[in-house]
Amino acid sequence: MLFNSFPFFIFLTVVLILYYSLNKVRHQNILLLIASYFFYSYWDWRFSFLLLLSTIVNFFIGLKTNDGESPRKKKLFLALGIFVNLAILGFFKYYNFFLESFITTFGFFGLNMGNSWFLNLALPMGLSFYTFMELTYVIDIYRGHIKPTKNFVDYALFVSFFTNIVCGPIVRAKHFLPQIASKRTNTKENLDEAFWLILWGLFKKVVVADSLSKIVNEVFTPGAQVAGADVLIAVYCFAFEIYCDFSGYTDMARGIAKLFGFEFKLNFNLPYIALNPYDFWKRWHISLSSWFRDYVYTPLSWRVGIGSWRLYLNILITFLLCGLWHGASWLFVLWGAFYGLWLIAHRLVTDKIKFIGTGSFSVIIRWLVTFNMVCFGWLLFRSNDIAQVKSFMYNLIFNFSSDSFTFYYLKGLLAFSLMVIIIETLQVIYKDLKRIHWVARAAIVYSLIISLLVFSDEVRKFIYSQF
Amino acid sequence: MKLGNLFIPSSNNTIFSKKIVLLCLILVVITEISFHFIFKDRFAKDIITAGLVKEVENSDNNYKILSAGDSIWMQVDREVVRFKPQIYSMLPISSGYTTRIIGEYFLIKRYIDSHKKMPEIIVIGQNPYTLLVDLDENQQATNDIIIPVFTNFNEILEIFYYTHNVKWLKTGLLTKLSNIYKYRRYFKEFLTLNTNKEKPKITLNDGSKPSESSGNNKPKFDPELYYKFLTTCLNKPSLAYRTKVSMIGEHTYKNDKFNRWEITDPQKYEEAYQDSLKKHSRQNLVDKNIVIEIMRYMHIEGFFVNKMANAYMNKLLTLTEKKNIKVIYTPVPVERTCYALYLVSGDYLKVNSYFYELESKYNNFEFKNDVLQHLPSSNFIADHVHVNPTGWKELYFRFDQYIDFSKKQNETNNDVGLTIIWQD
Repeated sequence: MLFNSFPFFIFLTVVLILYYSLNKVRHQNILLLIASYFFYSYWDWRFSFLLLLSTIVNFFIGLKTNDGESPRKKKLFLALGIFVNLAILGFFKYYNFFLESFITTFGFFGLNMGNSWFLNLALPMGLSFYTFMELTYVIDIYRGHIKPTKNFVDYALFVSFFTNIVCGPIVRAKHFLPQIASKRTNTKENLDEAFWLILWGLFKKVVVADSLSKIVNEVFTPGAQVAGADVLIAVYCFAFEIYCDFSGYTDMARGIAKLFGFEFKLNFNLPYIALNPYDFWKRWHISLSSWFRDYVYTPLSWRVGIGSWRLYLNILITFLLCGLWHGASWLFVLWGAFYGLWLIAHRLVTDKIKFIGTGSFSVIIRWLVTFNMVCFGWLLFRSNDIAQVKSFMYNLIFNFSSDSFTFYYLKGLLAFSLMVIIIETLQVIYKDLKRIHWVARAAIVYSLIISLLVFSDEVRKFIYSQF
Repeated sequence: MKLGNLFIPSSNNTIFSKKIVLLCLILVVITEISFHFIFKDRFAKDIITAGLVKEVENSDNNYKILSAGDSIWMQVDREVVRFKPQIYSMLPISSGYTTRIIGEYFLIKRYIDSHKKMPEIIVIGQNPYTLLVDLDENQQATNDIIIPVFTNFNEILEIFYYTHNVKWLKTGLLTKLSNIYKYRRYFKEFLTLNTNKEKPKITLNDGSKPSESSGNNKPKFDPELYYKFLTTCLNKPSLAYRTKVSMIGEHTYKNDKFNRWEITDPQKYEEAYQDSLKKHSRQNLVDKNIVIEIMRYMHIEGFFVNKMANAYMNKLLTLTEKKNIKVIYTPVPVERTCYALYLVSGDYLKVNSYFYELESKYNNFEFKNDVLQHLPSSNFIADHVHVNPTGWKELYFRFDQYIDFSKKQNETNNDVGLTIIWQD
């Protein structure tokens, strides 16, 4: 049941009606919990037991970590919590991947391990997201940043709330649990914003991302011989596709949460206007980048001096893990390594050679470099294998040419990306759309509705739902 | 008001204020009406089935044979009517796209509902494997034809009842209620063509319009244009997005400087198609992948009948049995290698057993699996499914021979066959 599907529309309508017919927070939370498990089971009911088990274990580990009499005991429960979550994640997401890597490595030395060790595992939906949320919960309790909740329903709802279990954002317990425990009130302005977020998110996903994905999928067909210009356009298309797909999901998640009176933090803040890699990661998938900053990079970097080589190593480790989080593939690791190295290079340049100006020309150059570097990262991210990366890079650098498809691809890229750029620019210039004249607002809303009707051909999955 | 004034900050602090919602509603209603007037004729002309629905409902003739089937069957039955219109009282309602048994059921039901005098025979020509994927949501035919054409509320609810899939309810209702949704395909094309004026525009003559020269309601069928349609549109899902101009379109345009398609020699398009496949290796690859996927799907799973297809096959036979109409089902020919696989895999037995079971269940049903069977691969176009002009002639010849043979048999033993129905 995807946000852009008709069954979800029915589901949401029913849940909203029931939700607002209940007065007590406790009852509302029970309803949302049942709805969330129904939503999750709709995909595959068997994995809802894994979700429930993980929730129960972490709930009690959270309580025990807090109640631990000595720091040693607390540390023990923290370690247990981290182990349980990483074990679940590692088993379902990385078991076959690491096994395959081991077998390949052993095969290199002439040892044949056979294929009998492989397991036919399906990746539970949203596993990477909810295990990270649970890790946050246990670690924050250990650090004393939050007190564990004693209400199991509240905690279970925090883990499984249907708006963010599939593709995030990775909500922190510190931010979300108090909202679950307290009475929610919804204002007219809040609902207005919620509807806008849902409409805008739907537009980005259904109209822009799904349309661009057709070009991207065509060019990235395994074994395809593609002209350099087509590769370039397809990579730009993918940059917009993944942004509109993921930020569209997040906007809808935030909008739907607002309908229930919850508030989620911003997950995307115009990432493609970033002027350097740090800036980009402050704007792209903020809930994940801040998670890695707070729970991986910062603990690794305690007591490490500025300028130390260990600091650079920690950046690399953080981004390697961030890449691996995205999927069990060496290409994702490579993508993470690319960002790690780029950030290190950027830090070295800005720390030691302070020549970067702040004039308009400098800003444009920095933006161009950053955007194209990010797009190179997307090439690694989207490619099917290393051979495809090499082939595409060769065509881009040494064999740049166009073919009869180039014009169509370019037309698609311009048509769909411009729609997003224009509306997001308006939102930036006027802070938000509410400040624009009402006729212009009506024109935008009308265009979005018509586009949705015209482009709603098929329901496509969100890219990040596979992570 | 100046355009620039639109971006002057406003005091109204909501996006969905009353006047905005009202203005949007008015604009949407205007657009809905505009879409109806702009695209309704195009839809009726483009979608063969839409034309057939009108023809089926409004036909004054009381035909004795209704012939329904897929695009391959269409190549046969329209030829028969084209070459011997004086002999057969047959209404071909096969459509260029595969409408599956569900589409055929709806068409036949509409004919029966709108005529007092019932046909005596309904012939259904299909590749039996189409029974695997009835109302498959990945089939363009489902979204472009079945749902937009059959949008009576009872039909929408009936599909929902059988599939338990709310997707069909949504699609059906949106198609029924919104012209923007119904004609969205044309709007997208309109956007594409407007920015692409230098490319040749393909206008398909799908045979849905009644022939002016024949003076009756039988659709005029132009095999050359239909051949163009097949070679242009078949099996290129990745091209659907790009434009209506296919690889062949580009090829022909570039090499022959055509401003508009004028079909003189269908063989030329076959060559152009093959040439395009060679040139664009990735397309070749996509096609191969699809074929491999389909073959794998077919031969791992083997023949089975989709729940929906079975339900509608039974509905069709129940309806016709009540009305005392004979139904003949005949598989369309396949390539010889596929036919060999069909025999070796044991699917042949499964197909036969399914239809023989239907024969024993319904007195009005007859399964004819010995008429068309298979053809050599040289008789097919590159998709290995549809026949080329040589195969076309061969099919017509076989069909004609069969009918002549049945006619003679009929004269001697009064056996019930295709031939018992002749023009009065």
